[in-house]
Amino acid sequence: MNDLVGAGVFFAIGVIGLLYSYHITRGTISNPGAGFLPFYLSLILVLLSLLLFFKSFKFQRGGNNERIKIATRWKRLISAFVGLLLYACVIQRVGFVISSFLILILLLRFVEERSWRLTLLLSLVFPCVFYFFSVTYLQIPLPKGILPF
Amino acid sequence: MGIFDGVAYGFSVALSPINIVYCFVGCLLGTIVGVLPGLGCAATMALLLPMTFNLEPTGALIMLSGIYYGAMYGGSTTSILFRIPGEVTSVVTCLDGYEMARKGRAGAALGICAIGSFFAGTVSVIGLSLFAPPLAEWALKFGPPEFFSLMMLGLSLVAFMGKGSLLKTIMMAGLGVLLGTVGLDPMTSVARYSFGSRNLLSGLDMVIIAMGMFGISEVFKMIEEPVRMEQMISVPKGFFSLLPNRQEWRDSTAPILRGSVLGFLVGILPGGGGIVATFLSYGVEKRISKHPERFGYGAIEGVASPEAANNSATTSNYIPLLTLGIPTNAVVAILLGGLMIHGITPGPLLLKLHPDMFWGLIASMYIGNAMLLIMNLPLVGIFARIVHIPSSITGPLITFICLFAAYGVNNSAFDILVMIVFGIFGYLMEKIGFEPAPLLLAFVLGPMIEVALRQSLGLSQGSFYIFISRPISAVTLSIAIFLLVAPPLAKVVRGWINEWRR
Amino acid sequence: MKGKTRFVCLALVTLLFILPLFGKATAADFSKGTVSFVVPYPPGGVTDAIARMFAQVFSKYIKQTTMVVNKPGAGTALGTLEVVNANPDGHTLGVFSNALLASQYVLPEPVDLKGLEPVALFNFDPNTIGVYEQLPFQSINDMVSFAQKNPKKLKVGIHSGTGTAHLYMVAFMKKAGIDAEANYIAFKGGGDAKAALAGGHIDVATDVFGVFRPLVDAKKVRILAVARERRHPLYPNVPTLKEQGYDISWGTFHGIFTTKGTPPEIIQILEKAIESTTKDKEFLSLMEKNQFPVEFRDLQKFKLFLKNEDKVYKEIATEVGLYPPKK
Repeated sequence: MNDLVGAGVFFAIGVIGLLYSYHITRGTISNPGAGFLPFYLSLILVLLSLLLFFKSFKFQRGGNNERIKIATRWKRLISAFVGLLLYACVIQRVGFVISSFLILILLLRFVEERSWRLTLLLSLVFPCVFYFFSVTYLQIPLPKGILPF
Repeated sequence: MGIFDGVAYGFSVALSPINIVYCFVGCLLGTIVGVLPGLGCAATMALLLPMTFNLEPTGALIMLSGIYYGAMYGGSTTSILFRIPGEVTSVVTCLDGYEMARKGRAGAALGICAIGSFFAGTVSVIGLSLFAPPLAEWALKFGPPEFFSLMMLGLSLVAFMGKGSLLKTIMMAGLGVLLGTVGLDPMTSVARYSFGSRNLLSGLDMVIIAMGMFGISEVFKMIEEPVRMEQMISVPKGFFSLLPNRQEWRDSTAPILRGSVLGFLVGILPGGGGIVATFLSYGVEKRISKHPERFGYGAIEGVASPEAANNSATTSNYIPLLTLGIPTNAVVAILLGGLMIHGITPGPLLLKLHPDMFWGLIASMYIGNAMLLIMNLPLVGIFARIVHIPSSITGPLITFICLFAAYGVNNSAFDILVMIVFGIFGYLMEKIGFEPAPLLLAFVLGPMIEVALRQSLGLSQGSFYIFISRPISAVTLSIAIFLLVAPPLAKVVRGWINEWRR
Repeated sequence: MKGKTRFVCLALVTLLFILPLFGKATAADFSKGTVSFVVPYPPGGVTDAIARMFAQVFSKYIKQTTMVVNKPGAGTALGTLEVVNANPDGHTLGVFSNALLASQYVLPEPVDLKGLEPVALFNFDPNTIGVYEQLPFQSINDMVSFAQKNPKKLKVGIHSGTGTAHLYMVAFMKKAGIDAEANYIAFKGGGDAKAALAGGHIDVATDVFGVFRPLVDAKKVRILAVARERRHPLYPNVPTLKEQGYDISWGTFHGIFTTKGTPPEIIQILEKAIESTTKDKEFLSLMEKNQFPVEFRDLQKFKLFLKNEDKVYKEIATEVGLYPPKK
């Protein structure tokens, strides 16, 4: 089961790779162009994924192939995934401090179930300290977002 | 000025009070920078460049160098404790270093890093002072065909880096090379896989992918299984149990030696320097080990050798810089910038016009290594205890630091998204048996191999013979083939011998 | 999750979506604050070093703190965009070179330069042609006749990306009539090309004096010509391209740009400060130590210069076949 999924993923990646490199000049083996490596490499990935696909069938009878273990805390995991992706999308507009504050609350309180006291403490302190140091000393212009400073 | 006079003179310069202070500040900053992921030493050095305007050039260079190798020492810390590469060169340390930490041997890993780095640094400084000019000459002989062969050697070792199935390792490596093509083609500026996004046009950053696939995915693992570190390891009793035990010492000696030499040699070559050295040394250690199956599960050789290699490479990076003004990687380019700003032109005249700078720098490297060892060893105790903070707290905090770091690498919010995406991808792939390390390695080597190949074919007008006709290239390729083929061949030959005996 | 927790979760997520709507930019008074110099390359290169030297001295005349921000990527596109999208209040300046103009014709998706406002030029460095020391060429004509007699044997290094080195080298080869006979080898950057030249893996490459100097001292590279009006005062033995029959203006320049829409009064303030910086002793000595010539061209002259350069690039890029870019 594991291997089937893996094979599927790589097959998809390979096909995408082929589609988006097709139009780039390939050249020949003695004079490769920009499209040579991406195209043929994608092709190799597709072939390897097929190989994996067939291998996984050989083993299934022997019972060697494991099923994917679904984590017990999968709901929290998904919230972490979603929360982090949202963070990446809004940080430029909303600003580093507020986004980090929110994501830390999500992770500390809702994913890891720490106390509100600890959560609020860490969620306020860390982003502010990091923001302060990076803007004054490190010259990393973290996104200001909607805050006035 | 003979070598011994030079070294003596150098020490007199380096031991002057102000230069010792610069050295210390540099090392301290470097260690901090190295420990914090994403805060690259390149960025920090660039930051301090303006401040060095008002300093005397030798002192400025000493301080900047201190940051550089200090970061190498510190970078391994987060790799071992949290599986987050603090520096690009500490990615390989994540593999076995973190496993050692999980087994309660974090202190030993950290200790071996510090000591191995010190030894390697010392060896390397000696090599630098004795052999700088001839080595620079030798390095110049490496042209595109030689680089191709060397990188192929590295890539062939990738196949053996994985813990699990060979097919899956190769697939991840293939994906790594493919990801390396994303962006503008370095030779013809054609856009590859940019999907219309300008951000993708500049390609993907190795640090971002590494933080995602190692660090973030590890955080996801922590979320999945909350009962981890704190229950698995007992609190170490006393300081000495934190350090490497006798067995670990014995196992590390040869790898440290090998890593030092390998790192020294590879660091002189332009392009890659430390990163390639760490990959090569890990691969070589695994290949020649009598129990390669231990690698990936906490083999100390897999920590000692790469760490020695990257420290050694850090010092030998200076050789082409000082003798010819050729920077071998982005960090050394900043040092070149620093020299330029002070109006110092590197090259053979450097030795004649500024002997105090040349020898003073070399001597301060030695002093810096000693300082870093003294600074890092006590920290081992503190750091090893960080491991015992519950992962429910460290997990979110590490995530936060990674988010911050991801932005800081290129001042880009897009990178944060990339890191998260790779984090999710890496986590899910690891669950079904596909490891991140081969992908990362191939991602670094792939583009270099492609460029070297196309340049070589340009030089030879399309003939592949160039790879064998040039001596260095031929030798390197033979070593690669040997390393690939030797163990299975040995097995076959042994089988024949047994047959014949019967 | 329990009901209450779920509600709070939902509320937070909704907040996250609403908050961006409250964002707005705040204007600032020009005399206060920090002036950032955007460098579209990673730290440590020539542009970066020059920008830092400049920023250091500039802060004296503009009476504000200055900082250098590296924004590498996509040729020079990401750095350029940074300036184009910044507040037109004079606080964000770009330190750009020829690569900016070349990128218009070389990159698949160039940034529209109309979003930039040029302010002034402060550096112009003529390029040189360097050959591997062990080759017998003593002059450009030696090299040209070798190429003519041995097609595809002359290995010419070009650094690509937003390659002005690429464009000019090819243009030169065309003028010399040996474009078809040259074997062009592309490198990722000047540093790689330099190393390959020093090792003799390629025969000829181009760069500014400052970059070749250590190699010349180490007797690895010989400079055949410099693209200057008259011979360089520090190198009286190196003939100019003009002397050898090629009248090409070829050099690396650095200028300051800012965002379109910046009020003209602020641009004037910037221009004056740039001029003062180029006359400042500290700046001059820093640049000279590295052999980076300082030259000031004010707003009008700079705009004219850019227009001319742009025409040249377009011509060359079209001739060479780089423009329009192939997808």
